[in-house]
Amino acid sequence: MSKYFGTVGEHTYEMEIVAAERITVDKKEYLLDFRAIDSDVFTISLDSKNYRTLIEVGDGESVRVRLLGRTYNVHLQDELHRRLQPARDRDSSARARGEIRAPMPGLVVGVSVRVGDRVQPGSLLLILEAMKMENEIHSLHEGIVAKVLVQKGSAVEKGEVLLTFR
Amino acid sequence: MKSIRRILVANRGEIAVRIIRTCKEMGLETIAVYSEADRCSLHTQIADECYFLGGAPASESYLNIDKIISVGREARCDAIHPGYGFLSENPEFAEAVSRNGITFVGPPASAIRAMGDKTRAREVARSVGAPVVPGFDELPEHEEELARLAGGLGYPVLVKAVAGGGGKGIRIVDSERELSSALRAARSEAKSAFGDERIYMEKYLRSPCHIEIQILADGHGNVVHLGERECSIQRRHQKIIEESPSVHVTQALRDSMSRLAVLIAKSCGYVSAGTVEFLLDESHNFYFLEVNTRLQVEHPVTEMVTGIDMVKQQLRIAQGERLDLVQDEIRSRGHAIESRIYAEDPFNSFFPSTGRLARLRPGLGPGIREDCGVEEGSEITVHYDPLISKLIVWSKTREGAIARMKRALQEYQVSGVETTIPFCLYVLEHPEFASGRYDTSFVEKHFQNNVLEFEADLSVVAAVASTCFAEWRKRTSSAVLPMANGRTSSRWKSKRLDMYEWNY
Repeated sequence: MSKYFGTVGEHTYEMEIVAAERITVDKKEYLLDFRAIDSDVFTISLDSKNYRTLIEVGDGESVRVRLLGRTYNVHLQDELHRRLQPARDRDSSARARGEIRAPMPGLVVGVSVRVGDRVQPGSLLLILEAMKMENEIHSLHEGIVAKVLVQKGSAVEKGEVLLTFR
Repeated sequence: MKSIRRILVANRGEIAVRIIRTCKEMGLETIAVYSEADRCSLHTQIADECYFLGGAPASESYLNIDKIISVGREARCDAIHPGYGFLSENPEFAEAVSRNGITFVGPPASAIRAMGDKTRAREVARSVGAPVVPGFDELPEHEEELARLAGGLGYPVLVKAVAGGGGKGIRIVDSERELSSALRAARSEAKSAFGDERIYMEKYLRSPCHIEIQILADGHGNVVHLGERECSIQRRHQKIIEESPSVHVTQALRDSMSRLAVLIAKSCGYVSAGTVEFLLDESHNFYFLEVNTRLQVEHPVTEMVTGIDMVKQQLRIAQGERLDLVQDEIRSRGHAIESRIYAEDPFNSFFPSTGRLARLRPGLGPGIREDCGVEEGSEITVHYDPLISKLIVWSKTREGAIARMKRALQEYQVSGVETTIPFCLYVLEHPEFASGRYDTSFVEKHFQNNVLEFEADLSVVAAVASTCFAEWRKRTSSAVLPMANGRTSSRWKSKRLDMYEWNY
């Protein structure tokens, strides 16, 4: 069976399904029973401890696992994808630093920067109104605003690029 | 006053559902109203009749006074219940309802108006001897004079809209340097939000507890109180966990707060259910904050400990009946806690999280009440408050109620949107919450964005589950395709059509 690497928070678990109903996690072996109730509803039992869970595909390579009222975003890769990772990291982090995307759908009620402005981490970039609340969008990095793709009154979708930096 | 037979509920979501439920139990005919976005919402499904209001934006539907009144007339309703939010504290709406011969289930417009004006409310409170937060109700034009007043109070100070509410038109000022710009900002926000740019100033209490007293008043001068609710667990200055009784309130404190709450209600001619809010500082001094002239989101907490259905009381009062409650017979029994489940992402600054509720499976069982306004498959949109559900538990003791709430939240399953469930669990499991050493600064002190990530005690299980899920998807997606080389998915034996199991 193929190996998987699942990262939760700062720890990466190395997993391998070694036989029917057996899995190793970081070399330690567990008894496993995994059953689908529906395409997103599962029960999982590890060494006879039983859990109800909802599982969805998240963004990118993440899998969203909901367990006992908690949400775990597991970044999951098989061996092949793990080997390709370093190159893709360089690529995506460069892209992520270069733009700001809408964290939720909403209405732009104010833009605080102009093309050419220098911003610091924490600088207010714009204000997005959603569900009666005004949400301030701040910069995560230092940079210079290259493009402002929205203006006051623009309705935006989640994930839409709002600003780019150079 | 005429008796109520047909009632229109001018609201949506869980509160519309909750009101309709009591009305039905009282044998009333219920009328729901809905916007474009709510054609299939739960409240329209359970009401006896429903009427279309207008477009999805609240201004075209749930805030449209003319439209609601004309629907009310067309539907020949006897009464309108405004719920909370929207038009519930709008005196023009209350007046328009009455003018059209319909009973408004709530206080008279004059009381809404008096309490909606924060400086008038402070005056009423002072007149019955209630302490108010030190401050100035009228601000001088002159900047130097203003700075002198603020300096006298001692920074930080708050500048607040007189017509305020909902956290709008408020600024915290930490030093004289920020004073004039904060005042400008608050003025402009107040003007656009309330059409009233008047601002007052008060001392900012750094980390008070937020305690409120529930009152019920009939039209015959009788007022009772139903004890307190503790609402100090807030995020973005909005309540999220409430409980009753409060661990911070002694019997002596309860007696004086509730006595003053009743006096305040009497002196402004209050009728119906209302809430008098107080702030409590570390040295157990309390200050009047404001009166909310409506049913509160957190009213079920009081219903659970007193056994009194507040909506039923509101309706009896609205048709002119006398309170059938006597103060000495109102007892608070055991302990109740409410957790608000919002479609917000606690991993990302509580930003609203929109989407379709792919799954919604509440955690229920003994001692648990769920007030929910949506169902599995419902859409959470940008148009309204993102409240999914309120989970309220009762137990004999506070420890029992905390344990019960944790159990219910652990069982509660939602997918499709992010929710405040992980945040509520974090609070309930926190030693400072358990010991009662908390106030309104809890979130600021104990909750940083990454706190939820590092708490990941079941991360091994989550990692294994994601691996199984990935394998399972590979199998099931290939199972529906024609199999190459005679390989089949037989290792994944189907128990039922929708049930799979590991079976190598």
